[in-house]
Amino acid sequence: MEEAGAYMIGEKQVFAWVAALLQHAQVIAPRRLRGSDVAYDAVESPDQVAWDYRTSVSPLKRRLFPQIEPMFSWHRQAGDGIELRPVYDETERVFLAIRPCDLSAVFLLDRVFSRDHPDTYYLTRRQHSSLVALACTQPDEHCFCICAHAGPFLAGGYDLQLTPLPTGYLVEVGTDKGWELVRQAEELFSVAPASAVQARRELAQQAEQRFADDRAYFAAALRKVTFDRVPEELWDQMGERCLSCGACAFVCPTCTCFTTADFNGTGDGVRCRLWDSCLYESHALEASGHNPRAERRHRLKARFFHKLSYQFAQKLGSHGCVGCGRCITACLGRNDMTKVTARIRRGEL
Amino acid sequence: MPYVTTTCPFCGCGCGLYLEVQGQRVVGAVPSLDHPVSQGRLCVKGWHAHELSATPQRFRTPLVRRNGELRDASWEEALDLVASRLGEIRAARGPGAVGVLGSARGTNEENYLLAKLARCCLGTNNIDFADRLEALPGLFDLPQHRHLTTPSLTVADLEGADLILLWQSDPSHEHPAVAARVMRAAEEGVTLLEVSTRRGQLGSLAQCHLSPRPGTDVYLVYGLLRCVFAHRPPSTPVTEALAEDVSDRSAERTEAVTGVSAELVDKAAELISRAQRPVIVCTRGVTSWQYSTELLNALSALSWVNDGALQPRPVILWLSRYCNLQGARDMGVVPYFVTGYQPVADEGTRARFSRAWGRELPAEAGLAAWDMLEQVRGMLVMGDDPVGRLPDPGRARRALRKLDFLAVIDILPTATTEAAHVVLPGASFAEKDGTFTSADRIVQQVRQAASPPGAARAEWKIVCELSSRLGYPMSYHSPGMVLDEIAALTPIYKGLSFAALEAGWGSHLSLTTEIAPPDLNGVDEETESVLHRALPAPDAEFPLVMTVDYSLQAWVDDPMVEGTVTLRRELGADRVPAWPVIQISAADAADSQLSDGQRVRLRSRTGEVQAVARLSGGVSPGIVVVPFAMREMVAQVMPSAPHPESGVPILPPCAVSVRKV
Amino acid sequence: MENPYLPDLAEIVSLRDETPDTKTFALRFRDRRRWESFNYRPGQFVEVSVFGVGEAPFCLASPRQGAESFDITVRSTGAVTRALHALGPGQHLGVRGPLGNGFPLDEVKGRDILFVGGGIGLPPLRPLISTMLGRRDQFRSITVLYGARTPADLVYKHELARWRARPDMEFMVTVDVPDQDWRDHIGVVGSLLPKASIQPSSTVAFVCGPPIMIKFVVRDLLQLGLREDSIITTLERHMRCGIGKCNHCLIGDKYVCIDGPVFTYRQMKAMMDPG
Repeated sequence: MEEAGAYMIGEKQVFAWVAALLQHAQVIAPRRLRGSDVAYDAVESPDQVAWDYRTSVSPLKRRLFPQIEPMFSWHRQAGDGIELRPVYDETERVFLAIRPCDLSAVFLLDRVFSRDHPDTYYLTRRQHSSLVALACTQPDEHCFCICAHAGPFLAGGYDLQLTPLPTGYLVEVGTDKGWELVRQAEELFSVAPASAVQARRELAQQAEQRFADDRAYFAAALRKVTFDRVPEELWDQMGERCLSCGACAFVCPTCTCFTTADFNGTGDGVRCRLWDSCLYESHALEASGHNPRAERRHRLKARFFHKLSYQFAQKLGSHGCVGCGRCITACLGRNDMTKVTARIRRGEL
Repeated sequence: MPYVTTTCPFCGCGCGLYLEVQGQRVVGAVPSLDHPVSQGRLCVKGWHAHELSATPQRFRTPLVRRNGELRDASWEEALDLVASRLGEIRAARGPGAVGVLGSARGTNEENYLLAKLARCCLGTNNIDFADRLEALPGLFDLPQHRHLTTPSLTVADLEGADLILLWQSDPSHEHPAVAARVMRAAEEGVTLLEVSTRRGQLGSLAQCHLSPRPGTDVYLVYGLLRCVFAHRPPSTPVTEALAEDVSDRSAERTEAVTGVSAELVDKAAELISRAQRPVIVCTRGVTSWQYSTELLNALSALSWVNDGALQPRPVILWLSRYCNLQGARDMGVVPYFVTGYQPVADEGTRARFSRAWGRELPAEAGLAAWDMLEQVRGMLVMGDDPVGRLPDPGRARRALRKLDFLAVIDILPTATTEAAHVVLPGASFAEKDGTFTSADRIVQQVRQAASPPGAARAEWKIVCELSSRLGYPMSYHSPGMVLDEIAALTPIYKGLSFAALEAGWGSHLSLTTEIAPPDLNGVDEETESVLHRALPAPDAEFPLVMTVDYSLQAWVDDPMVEGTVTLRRELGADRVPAWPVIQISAADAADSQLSDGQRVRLRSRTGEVQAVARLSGGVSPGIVVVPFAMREMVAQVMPSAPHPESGVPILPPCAVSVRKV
Repeated sequence: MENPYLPDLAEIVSLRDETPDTKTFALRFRDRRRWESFNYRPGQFVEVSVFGVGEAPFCLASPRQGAESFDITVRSTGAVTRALHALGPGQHLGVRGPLGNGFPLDEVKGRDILFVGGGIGLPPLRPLISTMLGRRDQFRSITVLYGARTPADLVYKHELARWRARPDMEFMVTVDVPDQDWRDHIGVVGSLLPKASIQPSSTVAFVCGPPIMIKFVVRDLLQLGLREDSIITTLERHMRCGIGKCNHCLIGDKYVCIDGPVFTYRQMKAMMDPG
């Protein structure tokens, strides 16, 4: 089959393609739960993929960095010996029809988990994963990926990127892995005609206009956060409404705080890691009882510094927000990213 | 399917969430966006509810006490022991000598079967649950007052309110999904008023914060009503009668009794008078007082304060703390009701149930939970923790230790399992099918996502096994079958089934209640002088008034919080203080030269203890606040006492002094 | 790919009581090769696991050169440290490390070295002191000032005696509350500063101890004329992974486990500001 940058796959062939993918790998795709809820979940058959979804209730990170995961188990042996057995997840997975914001977050997580001491658990899963983006032509109610440079179309990083067109999907190939995915089912794909490539370009332009929204003025907010020029009263007010539920950390595609805990007592057992949140009062609590971030306003300030400062952007290659908008829905106290950055920018309280 | 739809097992809000399942294990939780209560949000407890399945603290095998210690046992041995011991006690001393406690956290199906076991196997109406205490048991019996703790408003109705009044309730601690709505409403311009001894987290958003002296809430309502009628003169016979009742409760008189300034009373009343759709949010803070009946009664008068309409509108949203208090009452886990508030005393009810159940039902009302512990010889407790829940834990603990036999079915260690002769390991919400009835009376499903750990079993199965061994065979194939039976016998649950609940997000069960105009003349001169005498009387030696706060640290001593990694750490259960922590105002602290965190001597007319004083901007001068979770530590100073009329144990506020050690 | 979360097994060689609530454990890796590849610098730390209870960070409290084991000094405060105290020789632990950034050593050659330690702040300084004493001629003066609340709270009591006896260093010790046998200085460790002969322009100070002690000692050192980047301390924070992933020890954009735990006072000041 001719190697090209972009292919077409027709509506009818997509079904067969997913069936083919299911032969070789677990396919994680948007799937309907109940009512209007959709989540990235393993599908058992092609008809379970909800191609027309807007957003998933939970970001993709859940599949690469689970809410609770075993790290290693220990086994007591005769003569006071202990054997440690690490637990790795080497399942082959295809992440199919993932929104660009969620994939942009994965690219950030790749950098977070690779630097300093590479995280074996995340990276093992990641090595066995293929990423297939589904570009966005319509924003959802809370989306602001444009402001975060994380969508609605990706410039690269994906293995494949699908753009919905009237007759099917344009399939852009980003990596050798992506090319392999196409080649394995080559009879279903054809090289994309110039008209399709043009249509995709136009859709991208239209999407940029649709998504363009002054919802999150990052630039101004970033500067103020970086140089600590945000009035303390803003953090105070936010602190008054924060209920320390942890939702912002859990629904955020780029947050990676975790804690570890040993399960099953001092016989045989397993050490797990569990999602944690920097907004929790006990997050920085030391065994001595000293708590350097006992006040909510300090924790909120620290969170937004982590997300928005130049210092972190330099460390991690991009800012910590992809504009998915989940924190807007999930926050009990309505202290979401768009509200905070707007208020920081406007300097109002 | 790896995402199992279920309902949160903690508070009464009833948020909808999905449990993520990987292989055989529950590995995560995520809120439902579509669900009308959660709307994509969960509090810290909901986000970590999945840890209940994984936590190593879970009971995994039956335990039998031998030589003073609880040791692993087989199901055969444990079940046989429970059945034979209860049977023996009943045979030797009569059915009145055994007692059963159900659970405000258990499913409707398991509560129903437990109540059936009590009545059919053990032949007793000694069936209750400790948390019924928070729901005004005395008042609840009367059908015309039932609406006060069985709201017809729902949490979703907060969205339509134009005035929200938080009465002794801090939803940020107790009902976060409600707090989220209140915060949004306040941001959108809805009037928010807070009446509380301690300013809650939402207090900063309120237009008014009123802090009546402890015990004087009733007076404040009368005063508010009187001013409301001044701003909006009555135009119907009902409102005229109400206005007449409170005509002598001037703002000045109210200030004298409550300590709330006349100006503030009037301001709040003026705001209330303009509201078309007020909602009063209240919880145990309102129903655990000596004059809760009068207070709720008076608050319900606001049902008639609206523009011209002759139809009273429900205004009270009373929220139970736990996920299934409403359901436990509905299921007849009550000494004098079978399901659906059908009285045991009624011959027709007994006949109907006897036919359905194949056994004669006992006619005599049974003992309440708080009386039961000291008056029976053997008990079966399912998912309840009277030591952890009742106002006097020490007394409950002593009573349990004196029992000839105590069997407890539970999932995690509690203060009650510590006294048990037998512990039977149950299933968490993630490991069984069933229904909960939320605080606002929406029946929702919990669905099994994983198997119970080790040899633990679903409670409904355990109850069936016990019942069969006690001579009353129960053979259900599933909790669904149990719900079908409930629906057939209970008019208010008519038509409910797992199939019927499958489609949406639950079924709202409004109890048909007529809201009768409250009798505000009930507080006559004589009663009022009684009220006055009951108020804590500060003097020179004991200048401050101490009161218990039900929302502060509301979850710190909860077994489900203690038993999970993140919640234990975050909600403070792993940092039990050596001394009780009391909150006082900066002004009072200054008077006694106390600094924040100072060790103090806390004294009252009944005794003294050492405590730690924390300064709080939310506490008014003259008042000392202690969280309910620390009541045992201050029991010498603020002992529990029986309500003078109903006998229900309460924690009355008292006069205290706070001095440096 | 090596798994940075997976501990290696080590056993307790010996232990001794330092104070009523503090013990020093000498540990040795079970695997010889692991010991040979375990090269650490003073100031670094390890994460020690008691399987079934948890894991906690401890600074390496003894020098690497010429040693067959490594020390950690543990005060009993929480679940893991209590569990450690219940263990005895021969029992196994998990160890990950070395982690963190270590003290400057070559960078301070030729300088006057001042150590100020308070209570449980001496353990991280001890390997640095020993290492420097082992290369004595590379440094000008070496002064160790150490204080604790009471004589019983002093750690490494035998070592203190050896330091006192050495002619090539100055050693002073003080306690806040003496007992009847105490014959030495009384007062907080900062009160020893005026008694030591310090050359501010050439001195680099290593300060470890409780936060309040550090605060006052740093203030005094600055007043004496030391530069902010010549005052070096270690920061403590709640740690979990120790490898810069879990975010518990994050201060601003610095991870105490990666960018620290050793920081100059100038770095510390910059860190606090963004919260």
